[in-house]
Amino acid sequence: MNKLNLILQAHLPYVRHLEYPKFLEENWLFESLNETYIPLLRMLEKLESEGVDFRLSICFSPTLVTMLTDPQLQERFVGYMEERIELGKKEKRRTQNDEKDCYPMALRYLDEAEKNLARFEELGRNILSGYKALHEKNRLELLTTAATHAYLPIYKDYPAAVNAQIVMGIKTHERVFGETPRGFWLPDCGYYPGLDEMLQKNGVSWCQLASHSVITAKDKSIYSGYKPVELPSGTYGFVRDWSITSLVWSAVSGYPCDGDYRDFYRDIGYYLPLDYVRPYIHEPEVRVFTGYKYHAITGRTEDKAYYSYNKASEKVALHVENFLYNIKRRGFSVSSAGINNPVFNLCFDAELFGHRWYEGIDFLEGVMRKADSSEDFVFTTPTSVILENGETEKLRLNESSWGSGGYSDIWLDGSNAWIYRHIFKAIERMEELTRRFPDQGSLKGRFLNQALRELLLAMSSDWPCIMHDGTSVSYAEKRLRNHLGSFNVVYSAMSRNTVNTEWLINAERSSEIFPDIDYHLFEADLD
Amino acid sequence: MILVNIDSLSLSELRSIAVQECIDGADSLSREDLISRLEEKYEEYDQDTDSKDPNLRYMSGLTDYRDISKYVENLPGVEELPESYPDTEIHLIKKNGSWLYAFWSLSPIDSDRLQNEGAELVLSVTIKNNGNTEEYDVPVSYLDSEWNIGIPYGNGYCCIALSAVKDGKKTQLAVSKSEDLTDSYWLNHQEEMKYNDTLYGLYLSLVTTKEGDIVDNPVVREIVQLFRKEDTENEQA
Repeated sequence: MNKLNLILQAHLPYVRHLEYPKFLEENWLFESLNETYIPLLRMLEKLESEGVDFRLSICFSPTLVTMLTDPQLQERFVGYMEERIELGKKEKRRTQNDEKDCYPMALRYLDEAEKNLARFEELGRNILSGYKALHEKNRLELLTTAATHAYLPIYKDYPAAVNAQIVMGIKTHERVFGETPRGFWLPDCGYYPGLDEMLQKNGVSWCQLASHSVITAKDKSIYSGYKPVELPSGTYGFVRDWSITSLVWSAVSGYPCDGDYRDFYRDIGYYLPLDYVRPYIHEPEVRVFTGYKYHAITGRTEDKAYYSYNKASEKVALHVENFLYNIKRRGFSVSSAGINNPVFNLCFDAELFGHRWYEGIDFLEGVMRKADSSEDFVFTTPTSVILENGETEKLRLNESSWGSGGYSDIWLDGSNAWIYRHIFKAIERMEELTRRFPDQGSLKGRFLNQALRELLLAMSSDWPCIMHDGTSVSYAEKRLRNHLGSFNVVYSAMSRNTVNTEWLINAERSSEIFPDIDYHLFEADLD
Repeated sequence: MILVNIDSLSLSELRSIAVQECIDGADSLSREDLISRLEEKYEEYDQDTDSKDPNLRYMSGLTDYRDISKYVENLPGVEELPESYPDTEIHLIKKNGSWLYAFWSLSPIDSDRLQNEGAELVLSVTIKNNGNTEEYDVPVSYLDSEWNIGIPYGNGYCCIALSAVKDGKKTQLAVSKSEDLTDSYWLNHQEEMKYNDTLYGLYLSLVTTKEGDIVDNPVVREIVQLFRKEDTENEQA
């Protein structure tokens, strides 16, 4: 029997700019809601109602759950969806006469948008309640991650900062889901020796690890990653299977690259006349994705064929077969090497499914249905595997991540290395503030809490990652500078033993995240 | 050996590496020529940059809205950050198994005093590896504030200090915390490899695509090469 741990990570950076009627980067959330988080939930609910026996682990990052439970962002999402539906109706009319090949997909997009909005409203606009219900039915394991998805190995010289990221991740999860998570998604699989001890002290049972962490370990591994790794602290590590995940994730040969699948980039927001799409793009004339996409990937050509959902569905069925076939074949070879009931840990970004890979949710559904009807596979969760008290092995690992090269190069290169000079200094100053003002309540306490909030937001791995990738660099840099600048406002004022009340109220309003933050977190003696 | 992201290196660093690599005329070559010569030296680098990262995060797929320059000025206000901080200190971060990244600052008081005294600055690198100690100095200028340091694999650590040198006497100004070297069982136990064919197959199965591409990691590549070498030697024997 092959045990499958499918672990999805749903994360977006905290983006909330209510000072603007519309803000482009908020679309990251809205697109993901409409194309991944709601359709994924609807698919899982359908499987549950039909009695399909499935298990899945999902990490909703603290920044994402904060946005998903923010009433103002929820309201803005409704506005976004109403625009998509209005555009869908226009598209339905247009494609009856023009670009007739697009008509079936125009209908489909409109139908999906209406169903997604309806489900969103049924859930009281809080989709996490739907996921929580599935968790309570033992279908999902919900886990958390670092407070702002900081890439932790870079901060290992600052245990108080790492601990604050872990504690606020757990606290946010407890506040939203009402229970303590057992699993902790290491942002970008970033592990360093000693991190597991901090997780263990905070009650975490398991985390996921990069695929190469076992072959490169300090100790000899016998199970090669097909059984949980017991880290020095007793926390368990689940090693990502790069070979199997690459069947999906490879940018060159992964299933989503198939020519019959829908093209992500060819969107009417970019090619239909401005007068037509103007109400659905950004003012004054910034073309953006509308979600209405009618072309197939086709191949490495600008001349794209029209997309056929039926054709793509046939391909999904083939890819489901192929995916499970590859796991089964590997299971045979692993078993023949003496490892029975191997555990395959399949870790992905959630937004790959539905948003980036339109057919991805159909693929997941197909895999779960097929696995349920087969005796060769069982979907499980890391916590279930631990509770079975099966075979594990103790290993000491080196620092590692799932980023390019397997270390920290993505978050520390020529484009972003400059940020650490400022972030490290802010961490040291936060430590200083905590020592100097150990017992501040009320206004000064809030002021210091805001400093920690800004520091955590500055530590987000998204900013250096965006700088590295060269996407939305100006926005990432400005966000980072603003958080660090805000931190410095508190530091300067507290150095004079004053509080800028008006500034504090505005800062708290603009970052309504971590309401239970407490700057005393930095007091903990963790060395 | 894998080269650090070469575009991120300063001219001084490029010259320093070129000298270590015995590139002729390293002191007089331009930055572009140095990059080109070093890239030739490290063929692996080219292969690395050609291959796409299969783990590109979701963020990478987002439209680059904000880099449309005419709209950038509409963004919210941006805080100025200080160019430097008034402390003398040095930090070391592990970039990968072969490179550490160091950055430092010199307080204005220290900087003025040391320059008035005519002192020179050096980075003192200490590498403890499998019981052996390697120590060397890298001269840096008052304008430098960052450096990349090559490290070996092994059981040990590296730390660096920023020091002032005057009249042959070295005074430590700041010292970093240490960074562990990458210490892998299989790099230290090559003699066992010939008895572990099955295990090698299992390892490889987790980190190899169906096309035969191995996960992008230099230590894995080195271990795989060692296993293959053992295989070849066994066959020849």
